[in-house]
Amino acid sequence: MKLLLVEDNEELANNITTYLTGEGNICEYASTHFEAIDKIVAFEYDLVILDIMLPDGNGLDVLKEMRQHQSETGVLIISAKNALDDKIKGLDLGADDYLTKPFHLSELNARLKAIYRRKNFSSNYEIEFNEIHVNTQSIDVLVNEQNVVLTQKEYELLIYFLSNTNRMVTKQSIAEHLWGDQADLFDSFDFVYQHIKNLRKKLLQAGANDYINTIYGLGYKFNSNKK
Amino acid sequence: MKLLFKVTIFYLLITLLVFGAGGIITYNIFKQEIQLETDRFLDEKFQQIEIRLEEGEEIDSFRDNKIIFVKINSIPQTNLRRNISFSDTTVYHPQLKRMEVNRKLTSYLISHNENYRVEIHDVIVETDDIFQSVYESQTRLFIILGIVFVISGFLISTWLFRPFEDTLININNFNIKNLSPFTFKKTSTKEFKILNDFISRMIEKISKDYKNLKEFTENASHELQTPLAIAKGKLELLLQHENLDEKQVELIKSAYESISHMSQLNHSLTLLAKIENKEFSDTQQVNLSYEIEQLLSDLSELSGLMNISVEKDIKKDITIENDKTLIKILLNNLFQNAIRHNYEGGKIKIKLDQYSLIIENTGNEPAIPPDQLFQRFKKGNMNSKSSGLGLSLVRKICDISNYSINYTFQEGWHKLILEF
Repeated sequence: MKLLLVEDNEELANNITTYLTGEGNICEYASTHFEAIDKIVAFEYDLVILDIMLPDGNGLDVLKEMRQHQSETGVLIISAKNALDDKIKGLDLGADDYLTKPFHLSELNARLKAIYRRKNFSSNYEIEFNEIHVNTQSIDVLVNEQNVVLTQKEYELLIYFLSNTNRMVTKQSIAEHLWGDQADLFDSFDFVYQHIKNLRKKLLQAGANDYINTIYGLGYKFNSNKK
Repeated sequence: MKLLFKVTIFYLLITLLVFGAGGIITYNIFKQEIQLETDRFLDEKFQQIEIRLEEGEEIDSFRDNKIIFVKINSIPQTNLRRNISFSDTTVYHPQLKRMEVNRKLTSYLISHNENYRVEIHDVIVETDDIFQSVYESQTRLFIILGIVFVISGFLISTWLFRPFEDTLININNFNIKNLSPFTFKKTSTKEFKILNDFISRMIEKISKDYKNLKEFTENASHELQTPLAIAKGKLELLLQHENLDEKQVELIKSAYESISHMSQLNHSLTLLAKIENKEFSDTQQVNLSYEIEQLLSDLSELSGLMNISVEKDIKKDITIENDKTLIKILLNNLFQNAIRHNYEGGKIKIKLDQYSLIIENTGNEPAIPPDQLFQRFKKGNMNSKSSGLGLSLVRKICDISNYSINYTFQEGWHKLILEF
């Protein structure tokens, strides 16, 4: 994927580019409205991550401008302003998703990949991972060509892992991914553990390798190196 | 009670006292004057008799029903001037056919070597007649004065207090969100000028402060969220490193959790400030029944995971007028609390009708008194992960929406009653 990150905060941009670079991704960075327009006019991107508050303008203006040049590009808006207004305005202007700061980098990654899959639905709605095969359109999960029946949450969890393979994902980010704002309710992350346990069991029963590593009570890693 | 009405009543009361005192004084002066005049008249009559006796008239020519001559042996010596004394007496009045109060002069004289005691009396104005007339005149005066007071007071103050009334109306209509500075009518009264000037300056200041506060709230939210996002991201990146040992991960974990907590606190505080600023004022008809059902289905997985059974009695299509976002925040906090402060296998009861929403849930007794639960950062369970702001958000929303909320804990049940 070729990505453009429009974000005025250098440190935050640094975090995002560091996380997203690799896996064959190229991540470019623009810190101002001017710079962003400049890049959008000159190059083509698969995905643009757009901050709304920019030092020299509004990110929504960048979005408007961009829609005139690159209609196929996926856009994810990130902003601290979790005002419903901005969200609706952004989505009206053709943004594909909206993420409120602060967010988990793994969540950002998963969202970007979801947009990418939707945008390129002709070829990319399938996720292949060794013996695991997921069709995100029909919501089917196959292990060694055999259908595995997962619950909604287990499916979401699997997609989340597959979007962040070989990366450590925290229990908190999983909880927020699965339950959104309601994730605050957990005094412990036992429920996350329950779902992970069930998912792991179903995958193992279907003959897949045990890819899910537990990391010191903090999170999990979907480890592709494990045989 | 209107100021003018109060002032008039006070004035009338004071006037009543003054008129009462005035009546007593008038009455006494009248009485004295009348007595004095009667005495002088009797005295003159007596002098006439003396003069005419000296001129040689006979005593019998003076005798009538008001003058009595009594022969006595000797004239008693008194230290009175000219040996004259006055006294009150009652005498039968032949026309009125009753006893009447009279004034009597008693003195002594000598005629043809005979000693006489002379008693001259005459009718005097009765005290209750004086009282009656004083009372009547004072009452009439008081009534006239009262009417004049009320009418003139009303007319004058309407004219005089017009600028003040305008100022009051202006203040009453003042809305901090409507930031146009309001203008006062010109007035020539110094005090009102000072008042209006002061209010103008105050409002200017309030508007400025309000704007600053709003800006601060927005900025604080934005400015704090970014560094939090950065710190969180850095920790996440740090976690991606291979070869971290358990101790290192433990350190990262606790930093990570603290940052998450801070971020949540920041979010709640911002929300609280926004509600206080009345930034949620998009009032509309909100279908409470629908919102509750929706929320319950959103929360059903969580309550299911904790084996909490939900018993509901929700009347259909109960609507209330309020901002939808506010209602959602309110309901979300209440229901989350009902789950959070519950235990594995507990129960929740929800009852909604057109007057109230009652949420009951099983749970442990809160560690602090119920009336403190609604205060900021007061937590029933100090170890819980909650921010301690949930119920103060609820209270704030209830306050600005004029809902009443009551919490009780009885026999293992938390009960929240929300009346709207």
